[in-house]
Amino acid sequence: MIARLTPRWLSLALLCAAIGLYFAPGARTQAQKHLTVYSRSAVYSVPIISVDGQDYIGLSDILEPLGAVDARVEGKKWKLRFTPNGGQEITAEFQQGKNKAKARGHELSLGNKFHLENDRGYIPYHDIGMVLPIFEPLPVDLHQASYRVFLGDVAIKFTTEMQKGAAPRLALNFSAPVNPTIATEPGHVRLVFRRDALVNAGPETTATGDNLITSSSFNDSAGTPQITVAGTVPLTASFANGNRTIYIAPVPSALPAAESPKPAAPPAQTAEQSPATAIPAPGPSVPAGPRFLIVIDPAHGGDERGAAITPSLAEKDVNLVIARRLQHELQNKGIAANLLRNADTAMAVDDRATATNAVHPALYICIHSANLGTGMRIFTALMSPSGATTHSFLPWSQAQAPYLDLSSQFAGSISAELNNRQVPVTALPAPLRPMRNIAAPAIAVEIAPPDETVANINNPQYQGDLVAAIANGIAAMKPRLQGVKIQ
Amino acid sequence: MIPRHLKFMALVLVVLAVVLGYSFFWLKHKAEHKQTRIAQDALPVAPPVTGPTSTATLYVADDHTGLLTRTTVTIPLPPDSSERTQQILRNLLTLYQTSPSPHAIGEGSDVKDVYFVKNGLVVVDFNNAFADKHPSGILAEELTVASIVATLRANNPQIEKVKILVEGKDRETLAGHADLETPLDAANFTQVVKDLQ
Repeated sequence: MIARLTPRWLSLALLCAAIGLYFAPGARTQAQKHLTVYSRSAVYSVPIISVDGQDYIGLSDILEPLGAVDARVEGKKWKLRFTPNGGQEITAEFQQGKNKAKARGHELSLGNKFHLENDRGYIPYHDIGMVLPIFEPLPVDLHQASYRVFLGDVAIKFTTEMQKGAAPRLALNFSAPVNPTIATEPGHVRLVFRRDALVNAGPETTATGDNLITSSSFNDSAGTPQITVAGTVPLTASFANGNRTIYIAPVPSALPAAESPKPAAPPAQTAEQSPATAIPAPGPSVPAGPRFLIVIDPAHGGDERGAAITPSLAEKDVNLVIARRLQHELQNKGIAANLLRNADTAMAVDDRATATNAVHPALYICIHSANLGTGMRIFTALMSPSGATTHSFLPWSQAQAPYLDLSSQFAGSISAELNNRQVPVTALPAPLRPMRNIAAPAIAVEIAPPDETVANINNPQYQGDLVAAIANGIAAMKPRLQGVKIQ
Repeated sequence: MIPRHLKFMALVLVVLAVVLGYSFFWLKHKAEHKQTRIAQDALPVAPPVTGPTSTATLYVADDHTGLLTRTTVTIPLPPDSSERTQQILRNLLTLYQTSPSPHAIGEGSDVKDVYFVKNGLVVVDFNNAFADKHPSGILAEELTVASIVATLRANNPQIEKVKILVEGKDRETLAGHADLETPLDAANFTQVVKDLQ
């Protein structure tokens, strides 16, 4: 009897387990949606999670780059204290599973229940427009459908102007310098503005009335603004006016023979490309030749909180904010940078090393923070340089050995930048994982507060100065790495 | 002319102020005394050491400067090398746990055992408080580890590698940063100590 029933019960149990797992909180499929926040001090993206099919967003994730966040859980209550830069402390209180909340002494009514996960508070995405103005003194402009929010007067507007004649061209005039990625494909040029707060004040599609450059259209439905210019001939893009103007023109060979000798107005930089290739916008350090990728690892995450910077401020959160700033700073310099984690998630040290080694970066940089001392410390792996080469199999614990010299050079370059800015800096080897497992140049930085006040570690100006120095130090190494062969 | 009842009230208030003031200072003194006793109780209890005194070298970490300072102490040391090393490390830990402390470590940190293994490997077993209560941070942890390794090496140049255990077990990191899984190479720490001096 038992033997006959066992397979049936087993199947039933497996089915129940599958259903249970499907509905378990950890098994929720997290949509790959992000809210892009544009502010004067930073442009950053915040992951959106799905709770019971609804979009939710971490309130402290949004606020951290804007000031000092102090959040703690008391039973089912989530108490938040936020001090905007140069502003006064604002307090708020939310409760798990409740729509009602209090902020600045006033009652709030959320469109959906407040959600608490891993001690972090999440509000319904649709309520950002209501909640954010409580904490942010500047006007908040939420573009709900495109998952973009603008804090203050940061939006960049643009106009189009078709200049007809022997050498027709479409001028895109922007209210501030822009730095898009440009892709030329058969029949159109696409400009993707990943970091620019571009908004459209006119119609979505504009017909130019020209035979060669036929129309331009704006789209930000996927969260990233794009301008697509369509044409009947291959088109090229060039920058002028300090990146405030982009000219789209037919490639010279596509112009009628009688008209082709006339050159266009002198562009600042020409972004002529063969079809179907993507190029970054010209900048001070445009990647050229072999890929120069930086992997940024915000240390700790999830249950692993790292050091307690203050009783309510965990190292893992500071690390993530600084890592996002560094990624932005590097991208502004035209240097590709990946984050190993972009949310409050746990990751084993071996997984961090495996993920890094898989992409063969020019540098792995691990971000730490601490409340001891001031300034910044830079660490390389503490190990003996082995006689092994990168061409042979290396023990997992010795993967860093052939790269120690380059790692030290990166540390030296960043130290020099920090010295120029008179930031106290110490460079040391340290017994740290996963650095010894990284098969690429690898460093770790530990950021300490600027002065005796530990909470100042969250000062955006201070963090901005440090990441600028780190990014400059990395950029300075780029030409030195060209042609370097590691034995 | 001040009424008599007002004079009486003033006198009562003065007496009350004196009594309250005395009580406050007495309670404060009692609390401070209790605090000192708790701190002393938390210090590692070293077995009584007798015998001739010897000079030992300690590398003492300083949180304020982020550096290590070489210093010598004259203390009674047992002849057995394991017990001797344990005693030297206990002195170092006691120094860190005595106010004002130059370097913060976990309250109640202690060395449980020291084993000398072949080929210059020494295994040092600490108690849970040493790791569980240690302040977290790369520099904070490195100062502790470097101070221990340098002190061991300074008093016994034969030591080449140091393996740190906690309650007899392997531990991944000291407090989230310094790697304790791999035995620490004393020669590698020589450069660290130079950098930290």
